[in-house]
Amino acid sequence: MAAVELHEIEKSFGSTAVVKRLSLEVKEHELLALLGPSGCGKTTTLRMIAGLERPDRGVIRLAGRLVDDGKEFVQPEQRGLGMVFQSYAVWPHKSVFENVAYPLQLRREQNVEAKVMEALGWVRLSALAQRRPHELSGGQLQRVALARALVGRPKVLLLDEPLSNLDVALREELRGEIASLRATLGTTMVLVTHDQGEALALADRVAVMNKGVIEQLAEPDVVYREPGTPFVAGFVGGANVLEGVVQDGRFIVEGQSFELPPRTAVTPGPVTVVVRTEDVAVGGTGPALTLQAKLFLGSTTEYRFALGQQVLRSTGPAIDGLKPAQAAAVSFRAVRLFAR
Amino acid sequence: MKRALVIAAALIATVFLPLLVLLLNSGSPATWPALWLAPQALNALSGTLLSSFGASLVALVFGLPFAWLVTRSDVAGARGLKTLVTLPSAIPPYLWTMGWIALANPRSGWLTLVIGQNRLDVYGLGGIAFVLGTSALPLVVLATSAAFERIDSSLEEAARLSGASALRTFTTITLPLITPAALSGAALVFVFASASFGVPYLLGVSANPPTPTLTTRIYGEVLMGEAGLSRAAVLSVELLVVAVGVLLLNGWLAKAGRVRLPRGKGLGQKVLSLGRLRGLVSTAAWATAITIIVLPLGAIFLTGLQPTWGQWGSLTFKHWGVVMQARTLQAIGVSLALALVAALLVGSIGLMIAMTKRRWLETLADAPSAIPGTVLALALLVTFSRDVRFVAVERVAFVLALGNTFWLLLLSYVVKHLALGVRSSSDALSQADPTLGEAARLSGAGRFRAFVDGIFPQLRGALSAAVLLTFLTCVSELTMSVLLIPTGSDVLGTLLFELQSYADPGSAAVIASALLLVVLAALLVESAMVRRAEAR
Repeated sequence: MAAVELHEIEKSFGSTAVVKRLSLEVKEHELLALLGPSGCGKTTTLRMIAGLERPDRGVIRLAGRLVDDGKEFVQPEQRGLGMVFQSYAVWPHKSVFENVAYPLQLRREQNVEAKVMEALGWVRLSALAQRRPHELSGGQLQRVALARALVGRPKVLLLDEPLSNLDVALREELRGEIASLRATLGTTMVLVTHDQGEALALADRVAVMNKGVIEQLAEPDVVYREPGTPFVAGFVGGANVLEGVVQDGRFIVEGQSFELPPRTAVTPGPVTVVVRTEDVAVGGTGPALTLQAKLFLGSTTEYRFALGQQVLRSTGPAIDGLKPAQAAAVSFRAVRLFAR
Repeated sequence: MKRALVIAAALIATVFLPLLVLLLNSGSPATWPALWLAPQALNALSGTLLSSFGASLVALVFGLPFAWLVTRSDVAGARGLKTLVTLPSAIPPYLWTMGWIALANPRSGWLTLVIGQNRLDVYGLGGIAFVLGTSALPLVVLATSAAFERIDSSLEEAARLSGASALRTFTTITLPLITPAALSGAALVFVFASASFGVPYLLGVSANPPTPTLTTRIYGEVLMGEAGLSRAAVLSVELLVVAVGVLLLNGWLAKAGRVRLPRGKGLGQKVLSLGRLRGLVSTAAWATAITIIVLPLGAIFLTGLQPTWGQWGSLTFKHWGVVMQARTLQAIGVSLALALVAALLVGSIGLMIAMTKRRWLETLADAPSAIPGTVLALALLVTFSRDVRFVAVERVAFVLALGNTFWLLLLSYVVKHLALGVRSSSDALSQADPTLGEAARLSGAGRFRAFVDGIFPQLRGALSAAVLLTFLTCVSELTMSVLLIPTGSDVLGTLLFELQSYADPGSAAVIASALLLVVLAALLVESAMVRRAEAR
């Protein structure tokens, strides 16, 4: 049975449709990431699972239990969920301990102290139990929020951009912490994020959303290697997305003609070609393009070539002697082709 | 530095020295307890404490729900409702009192006539607390709505997801988060109420049994002449201790109970839908607001137009002749002139003080606003009046000339409201962009010219608001005016006060109506100014 089940969910704010006929199942013990740019409907979807928004149409089930179908509605506090917010939402008038103890007190549980200290142990905050929120850093606040969301052992943990208010180093640290917590506790998690690295690193499956619909739902390596749509390719892989036409087995874009790699399924006519930056080869037999800029990225170097009004990016090892304003031959090693 | 010292010296000479003189004039501290513990004084003290506490309670009971409704719910007409419930501060408290006397005096009040005699009695402790509380409603509404607006919705949503119902969330999360703001608003109401004179005088002195407060007792003692003055001084010290004590307590509480609402971006504020109750709640909210705000003002207008209940056919302007009488015209003229000069002085001196950027001077200039008007006026009276010849500064010629003149009244208006000018100037200065002045300097402007062209335009909005507010407060000032008004003269406040309490409530209502029209017009002008400033 699916831990979370969304069936043909629709939601509009005013005249803007935010989520369009969206269906989704989250399996038990799975971490599913909702990935997409801001305004794609991912946070709204999460909030509908939480019961903080009502869908206009559709059905939501949690572990088989109907929680919202437009008539029946289970209040957020009765859904047995945990949630971590982007803004931490740690209550400023309660100490760390009181924050984490709150869900247990509401349920009149026994051994509150032991359970709170255990949860604080999970996020390595045991020493700070008596601190007030204003004495904590952003990373510590988000750990408190995590402990508070997990202390009641929810069936599903909802994470709404939990890392995006943190700086890079903290983000990586906390990302590792979420992964290890999941391994220990086995909680089902739904993660909303606009950071593809976060989604790919943490998730069992990634649902890439755009304009209220799921463009692709698959394992991270599949989403990365075999993007289902040009949008997914551009958003997830940071690939070059080029619109042109196929003529005589060659790809014409901005007046330049590229040879298509062997074994490409070719359909003549207008197409969108997706080329990942590491598949753009410098040298070889392609058309000569002018190098606009060279960006040293550490393990690789990025070259930006002018392709008419567009930019074609290539990453790989540094090439001796290639400087901006010089021209070099550019070709494609592998492409994905979408008919338009 | 020199300018700062000159201003500081002037403030000390006109505020703090007179307070010292008042203290010296109240006899040896050894005699204070006996005077404070005398039955009459205790009676006055308990009147002040109970009515002020009651006023805080009234303001909280009405103010908290209004603040929540207009900031966090989808109540119908939230904007209009907020404007309405923040209106009372702009209207002098004794006008509210006149309105409520017209509505709810036990024999002929209009509400009384509707629901039966002797069921309503605005006179006495309860009435004083109610009128003071409703007229200070904005102090609680503004403080708590600011707090409500700073609560990120995710704080409440996190509680829901933790298993708390909507009601439980409100009581365990929302309410504790706004409690410090609510308490601080209530403390301000307390201080305002304890310093109030007009309301307890009109509703307390003729109540059965009479309900004295410290301010009305002080006034009574001053009327007795020289012998009463030293008793008045002792009571003033007591009143000062109450007011300053509550303010200090509030400051300490605010520090101890400070809740730092989180920063960082989230979803911000979600408006809570009242759902099926929306119609009911909106109707109740509007009905309450109209009852406590529109009704008393309407009663004043109607009393001015038609002195007897039930004769709607005889609505007439014939009583409005009183406005054209020489005495009224003179009082209006004096009030307008004094208020205008005081407001301009508050604005310009406030700006001068803020420009020195010295915290100690700002604190010094802020302090008089915490001193109850009655105490401040009595200190000035004792120090500068010619009738009280034992004063040490007697030898200074111009000081002597201050006694029994409008100058003393003007001085009291300015120092009492100086904090308004200082605070708004200093806030505006800290937000002003200094590079505009620097650009003017580099374009060739001198220091003064650069300030006028580069900085001053950025302060104009805040300054004109402060000037307007000071003008409105001073044009109808009563508490200090009754003590300092030169013999045989009137300002609007004292004229109204005299007509209402001794002579002719009908004429009082006419003049009050005229005053109300002026105040409402000024508020309209101000909101138009604010809107224009925001549009820019």
